[in-house]
Amino acid sequence: MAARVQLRHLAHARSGDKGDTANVGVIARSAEAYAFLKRELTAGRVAEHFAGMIDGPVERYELDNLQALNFLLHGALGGGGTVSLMTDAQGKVYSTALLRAELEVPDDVLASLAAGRGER
Amino acid sequence: MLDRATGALRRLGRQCIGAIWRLGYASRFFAAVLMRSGTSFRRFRLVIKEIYFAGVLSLIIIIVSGLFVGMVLGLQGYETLQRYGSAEAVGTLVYAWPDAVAKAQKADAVLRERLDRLGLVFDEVRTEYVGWNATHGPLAGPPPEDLAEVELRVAVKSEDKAPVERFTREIAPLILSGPPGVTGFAGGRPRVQDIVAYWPALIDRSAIEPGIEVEVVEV
Repeated sequence: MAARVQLRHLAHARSGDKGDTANVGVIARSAEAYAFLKRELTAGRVAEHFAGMIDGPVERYELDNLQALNFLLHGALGGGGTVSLMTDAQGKVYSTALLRAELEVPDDVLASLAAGRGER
Repeated sequence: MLDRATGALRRLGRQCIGAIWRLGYASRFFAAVLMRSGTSFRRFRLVIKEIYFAGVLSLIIIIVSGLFVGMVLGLQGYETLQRYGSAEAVGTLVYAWPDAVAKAQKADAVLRERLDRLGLVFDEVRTEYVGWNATHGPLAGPPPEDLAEVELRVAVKSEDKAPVERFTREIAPLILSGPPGVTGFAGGRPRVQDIVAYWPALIDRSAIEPGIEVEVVEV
């Protein structure tokens, strides 16, 4: 059994800029959530989510020791930094846009999130 | 090991010998010049006059031409640096309930039409609605119902300062000639800002000498 859930329930995220590239780090809330995200939250999935909003490819790096995934979204910041006309020219809240992504999450992963909450 | 110890000594010796050699060479050259300019010493006064004429008096010419060349360089340089790079400006207005978003969108349409009619060309014109979609763009979906207010934010940039400057004067007229229920303009006309782009790059770590300095200051 699975449920359609927003990424914000499985992980938290932070982001920033590297020139015109938005750098979004997704930190899973539990080990099960990390395993699930490693499988399902691919660079392709993220590119789909931001379709029409970014001008370049998406790369993914895995940080198993932190249970985190790091995404590089090229051409996401309208030139970036001082050149961009965007409110979020430095991509500081780009992470929050990714947390809207909806995924089909199996029940056991959802259960692990509830369990983990007490310990953090 | 002995080699390394004597290495410094040998280097020092080489430097001294080099200095003495150069001194000797210059002295011999000077002596040769003096020997061949014997006749000039018979008319010493004339020689001095000649030196004065060719050297001291031409100083004025050098200063005057230098001044003019410098002035031209300065003017041209200023002209180039003035136009160097792009300029940008951001205009904002806050539209209040009711129909805050609809009014803000109408104001944006009016503004863009104005810019078109004025024949102003920009590298980019970007509209965002703070409170609705400024951070998430299309992912924010349709605007929420009954927003208390929304900020219309229009940003432009161009390599030419003139259209950007002209744009900054098109925000205030929207207050009286655009949709009602608008505020947030007490800041006055937006400022034209020079864009100085930065280019992040990687540098080989061997080029950096790391160090830590600790300073204790009593306050």
